Amino acid sequence: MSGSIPVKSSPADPDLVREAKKGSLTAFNALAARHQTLLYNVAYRVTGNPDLAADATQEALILAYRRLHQYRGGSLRAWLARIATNCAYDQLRARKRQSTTSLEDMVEEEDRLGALEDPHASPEDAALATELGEAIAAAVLTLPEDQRSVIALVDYNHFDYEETAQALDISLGTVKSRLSRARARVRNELLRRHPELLASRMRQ
Amino acid sequence: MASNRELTSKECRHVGESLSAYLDGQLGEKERALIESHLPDCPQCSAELSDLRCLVDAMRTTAPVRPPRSFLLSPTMVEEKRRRSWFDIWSALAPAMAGVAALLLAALLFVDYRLYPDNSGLASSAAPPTVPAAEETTVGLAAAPFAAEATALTEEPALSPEAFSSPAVLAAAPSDTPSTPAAAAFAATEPAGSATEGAVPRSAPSWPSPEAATAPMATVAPVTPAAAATEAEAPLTAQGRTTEEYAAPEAAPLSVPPPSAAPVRQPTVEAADAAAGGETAESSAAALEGPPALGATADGGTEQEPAPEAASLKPAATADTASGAEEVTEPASLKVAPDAVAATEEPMAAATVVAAAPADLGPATAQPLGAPASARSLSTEPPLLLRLGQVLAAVLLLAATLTWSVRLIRRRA
Repeated sequence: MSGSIPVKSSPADPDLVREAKKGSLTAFNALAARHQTLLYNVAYRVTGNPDLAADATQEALILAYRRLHQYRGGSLRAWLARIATNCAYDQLRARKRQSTTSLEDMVEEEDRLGALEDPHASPEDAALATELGEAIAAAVLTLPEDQRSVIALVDYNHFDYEETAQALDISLGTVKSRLSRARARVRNELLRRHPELLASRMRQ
Repeated sequence: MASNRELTSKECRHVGESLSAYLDGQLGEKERALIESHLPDCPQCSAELSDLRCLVDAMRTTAPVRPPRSFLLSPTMVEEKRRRSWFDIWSALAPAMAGVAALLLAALLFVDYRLYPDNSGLASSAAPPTVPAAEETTVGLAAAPFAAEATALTEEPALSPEAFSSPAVLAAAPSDTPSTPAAAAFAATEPAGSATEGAVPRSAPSWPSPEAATAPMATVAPVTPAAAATEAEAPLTAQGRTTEEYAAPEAAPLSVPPPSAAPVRQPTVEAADAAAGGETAESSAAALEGPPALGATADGGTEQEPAPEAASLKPAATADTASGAEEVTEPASLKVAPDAVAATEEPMAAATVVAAAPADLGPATAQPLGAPASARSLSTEPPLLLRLGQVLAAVLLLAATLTWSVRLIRRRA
C-alpha cells in the first residue's frame, strides 16, 4: 500500500521548498528525488504510455522549478501532481497531433509489450493480479481525461479526496461524483470485455 | 408491487452513486446507514459493491511503476528557462516601455508642432496641399478662358499695358470666349489638371528663403494686373512652342530641370517679359531673377538657363499667337497630345494659374490667394528622421501596451 513516496530522514519538504525558492537547485532536486516516482506514476496512469509519462514528468519538474514561487503551501505533492497531470494532458495532445495512432492502438501495444507488468508485484496470485491489473489499466485508458486523472490519483497513487481536489482544482463533491462515475465505467468496461476476471474474483 | 420496484430502482440509483464513496469511507453517518440497510435486500447493488471493491483493491495494490530514469534537473535545464523567458523580461519592462514610448512620442510631436506648425501632426502634413490644390483648380477653371483670351489680345496692344489693366478689356475677354468654346473648354481643363498636379511638387520642394518665394508672387500679381493677365499667356506660349518649337532642341532643357522651384518661377519671368515688352523685359526679368539666384538651390544653375530661353522663345510665341484666336484653339487642343511636353508644362501652367487668378479676381484677392502658397512654402517639411521617430515611438507604445495587457490577463487567468 505504502511506498509511493520514498520516506527518508532528510530535511522536510517545507525546508527544501524554502531553500529551492531561494534558487537552490540541490534543494529542488532533493524534492524532485522524493516525488519523481509519484509524478511519473500519475503521468503514466493518465497517458498510459511510458515515454509520454517520462516526458511529462521531466517537463513537470522543470515547470515546478520555474513556478516554485507560485507554490503557497498546502500539499506539495498535490501541487506537483497538478503540474504533472497537466503535462500529461499536454503530452497526449501533442502525440495526438503528431500521429493518427489512436489511444486504443497505443493501449493494445502496451498490452502486448506487457509494459504494465509490475516488477515489484507480490509473488502470490501474481498471474491473476497481473491479468486483472492489465484489464483494469486498459479500461481506465478508455475513460475521459478528467475521470482518468481522478482514478490515477485516488486509486493508483493513494491521494485522499482533499488532495485530489487540490491537485485537480475541483471541489470535493466533484471528486466524489467523478470518481464514482469513473469506477462504475471501469466496472462496466470490464464486464463487457473480461467478465470472467470480475466473476472469478467474486466467487473467491 | 410496481411502485415498490420503482422505489427500489430509485434507491438503487442513489446507492449506486454512493457506493464508491462508501467504499472509501467518505460518507456521512446517515448515508452509510442507508446503504448498509439497502445492500442486504438488493443483490444488484451488492454485486456492484463487490465488483468495485475488487477493482479498487486491484488498483491500490498495484505497485508503482518504476520510472525509467531519473528526472532530476541539471543546471542546463534551468539555463534553458532563462533563455526562454525573453518574453517575461519584455513583459516585465512593458509598463516602463509604454511610459517611455508615450513620453518620446509626445516630445517628438511637440517638436514637430513647434518647428513646423503648418505641418504638425502626421495626417496634416499630407492634407494642406490638397485643399489649396482644389482652390487652385477652381481658380484655374475660371482663369483659363481669360488666359486664352488674354493671349489673343496680347498682340494688338502689346506695348500698352494700360489696356490690360482696364476692366473693359478683361470684361471683353469672356465675350470673346464663346466664339471658341472648344478652346475655352480645353484651356479650362488643361490648367485644372495641371493645377492639381502642380500643387504637389510645389509643396514638396523646400524653398530655402521664403521671402524669395513670396517676392515674385507679391510683386507680379497685384502691381501689374496686365502683367498677370499676360502671364496667363505662359501656358499658351508654351502651347505655341508645342506646335512649332518643341521639336527644336531648346525644348529639351526646358523639360530637363526637375519640377522644383524652377518651373514655378519661370512663368513669372515670362510674364514679366510679356507685360513689359521687349525693353522692360530685361529690368523686370532681372528683378525677378533675383530671388531664384538668392534661392541658391542645388539646381540654381539650371534654373537660370530657362529664363533667357523663355525670353528668346517669347517673341516667336507671340508672333504665332498674333494670327488670332483661331490659332490659339489649335495649340490648346494640340497640347493634349505630347505627354513629354505636358510634363514640363504642368508646373508652369499651375504656377501661371495661381498668378492669373489675381488678374481674374482683382488685385485685392491677389494677396490672400498668393498668401497660402507662400505660407506653405514657408514651413519646411519636417525631416524624415522626425517622422520615423514618431512612427517608431508609436509602434513601441502600441507593442508595450499590448504586452502589458496580455500580462495582466495572464496573471488574472
